Amino acid sequence: MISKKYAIEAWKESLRYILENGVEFQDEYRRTCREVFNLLIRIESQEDITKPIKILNEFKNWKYPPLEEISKVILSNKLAPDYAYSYGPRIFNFQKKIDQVNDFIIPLLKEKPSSRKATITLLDPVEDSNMVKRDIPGLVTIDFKLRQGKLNITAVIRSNDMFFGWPANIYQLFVLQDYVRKKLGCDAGKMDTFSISAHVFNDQKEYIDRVMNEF
Amino acid sequence: METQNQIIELFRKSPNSELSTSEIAEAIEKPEFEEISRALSEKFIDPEKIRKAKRKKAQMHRKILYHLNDLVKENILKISKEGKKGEKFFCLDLEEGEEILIDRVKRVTISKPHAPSLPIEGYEQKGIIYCLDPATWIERLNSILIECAMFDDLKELLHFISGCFSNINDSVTLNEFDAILKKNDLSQVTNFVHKLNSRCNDYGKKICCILNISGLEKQGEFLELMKDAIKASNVSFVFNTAAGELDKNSAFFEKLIKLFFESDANLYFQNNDLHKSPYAIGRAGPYTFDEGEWASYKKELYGKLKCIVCAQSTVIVDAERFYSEEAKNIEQFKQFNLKIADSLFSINSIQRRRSEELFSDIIKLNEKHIEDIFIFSRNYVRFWNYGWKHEDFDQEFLINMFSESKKAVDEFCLSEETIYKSCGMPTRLKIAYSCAFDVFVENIFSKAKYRKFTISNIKDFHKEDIKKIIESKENLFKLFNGGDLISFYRVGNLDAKEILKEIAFIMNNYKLPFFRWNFGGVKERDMDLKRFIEQ
Repeated sequence: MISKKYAIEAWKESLRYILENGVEFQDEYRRTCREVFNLLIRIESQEDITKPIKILNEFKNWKYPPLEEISKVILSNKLAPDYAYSYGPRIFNFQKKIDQVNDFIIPLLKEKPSSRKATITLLDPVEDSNMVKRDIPGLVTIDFKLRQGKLNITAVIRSNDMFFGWPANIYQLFVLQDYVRKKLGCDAGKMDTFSISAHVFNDQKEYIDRVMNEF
Repeated sequence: METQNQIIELFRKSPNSELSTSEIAEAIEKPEFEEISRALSEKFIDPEKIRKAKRKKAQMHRKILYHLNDLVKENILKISKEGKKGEKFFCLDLEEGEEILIDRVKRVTISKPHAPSLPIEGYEQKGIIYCLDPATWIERLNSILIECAMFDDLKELLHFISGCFSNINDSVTLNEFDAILKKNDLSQVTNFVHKLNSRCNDYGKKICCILNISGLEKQGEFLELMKDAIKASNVSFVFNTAAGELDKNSAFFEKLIKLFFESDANLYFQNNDLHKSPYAIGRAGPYTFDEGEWASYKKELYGKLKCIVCAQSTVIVDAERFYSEEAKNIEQFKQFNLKIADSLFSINSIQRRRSEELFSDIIKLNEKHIEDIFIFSRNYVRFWNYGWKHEDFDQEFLINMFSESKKAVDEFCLSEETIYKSCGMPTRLKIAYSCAFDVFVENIFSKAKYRKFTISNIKDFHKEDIKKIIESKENLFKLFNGGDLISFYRVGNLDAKEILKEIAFIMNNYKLPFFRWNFGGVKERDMDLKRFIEQ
């Protein structure tokens, strides 16, 4: 487990850990990765949560999505037509039947603050357990625990690109935690991500080294 | 005042749009407009009723125009351009970031959101780049493909096409047009093509019908249809066929050649042995799909979708002007293309964020498959005067320069797709290269610099210089993954049998997936026997 106060420290430490301990393999799209299984990362503070994104924006070789777009993906219940899937509709309008946050998590935690049932799912077997489907959600489960007046959030990510993906994932979790926290009227607690496949691509190595050494 | 408020509301919802008088009339007076359209599309109708409907349509246009002119006088709207037949187009009379406060019954504020600053704007000012179309670059898609086989009723198909027009700025491809002929009689299809052509005229669009020769059962009826349809200036036909089929259907093709010769029209062929995904004609150039993606569409989605988006946004480059004003070297050309890729990416990002508002009509028409309609869409970079057949341009260097820049653009796209996917926003960024049509750029860009050849008979294809030029075009077809086109201009006597042999020769011997035959020179019997190949 990697436990740090700030997102930037946790990100850099996890990248270092994967480079040192990861096992090399070629994925189904023929890209070579280094991978570790079941990596748990904890962040104590939400302060400067966007620092990893700011660093990625320093590079001229790509354009990282704007924060507005990253947060819209998790908070909007509408599916933008050119996304293969979107987290928002899975959370707020799952199978067009249930708003998992407003109709379940928030009322549940208001009524039973110590509940262990405040879990939402994003993977939809009806839609995603499909051999030909290229893109299915990486973020599969989000859990909320309200303890000592603080809302803790844990995300299970089945496949996590730790260089490009994790900075956005942690920001999305922050946005969702903040949304629920405000509705409950409580403080923010810890943020955990549990990445079943935590990996980096070999073609990112040059940039990962720069992140570790220059920022 | 009510009508004016409705017009203002229309622009408030979509402040960047440019709308024609017809589009505004249709949006404001929808029930009346539909009633008139219905009356005009009735098969058997009293001529008096048609006159009445036309009169009503003209009255409606005048009424809307009256209010539009008032709004222009008030500096709320301005005339952005005049289309075909002098139809006026309107947009808000304000710059990005400005606001208009309209004090009427209720106070309305309209603001035009800031469009991002793009790294190609300088090139646009220099006339090196043209965005298709500048006024609707963000708000509209370039081209969509509609599956004719998904429609049983021509009225429904016509309604669907018209519904999509407001979200498109170039063309609509009707795939498997032969399916329409199977289900309807000749007079219905003729009438349908007439109406299509007329609506394209009103809305400034092009329609391209793709015919699979293998599926064309009523060949005689089709030739009858073509006698009339060939005159429709906004509707073109592409014959999707293979070398083997030319021989089997020789009588049909010979008649077709004569028909196109008599009308002095371009005859477009897609070689199905080389390229399976549909090839279509837009205003600015050809469109097609990625072969691998088309194969997966056929396997997984064919028969489920009524339409798919083919092209999202297009940038057209006057390469000759770039070479003369900027540079003619690989690195700078690559960097220039990366700036275009960067700009297209920014535009796509805006389209993504505002898609529900911008493409509402297409989305509404495809509600059940929203996530699939953009699944194969690409952005286009079209090149004009880029060096093919230029006498002073090393053709090997040309191919090298284009392949290096394409490689860099593809890498940029892959990086962005990886980033977006890893952020839980799996989207696509695909940029295809293609050529630009001379008729589209003639008043915008530099004069054509390429060599021209004419053809008189099959022996010309064995000449070394012709073979070389065609071979370099074969390489360009590989690079121009958004589609390319080669034109053969025929001179000499019209002998349909001979011309068919020449077409078969091209199909059998060269890797040219898409080409056209033009018979304009055949009439000029005094011309020398030369070949005329033009992009």
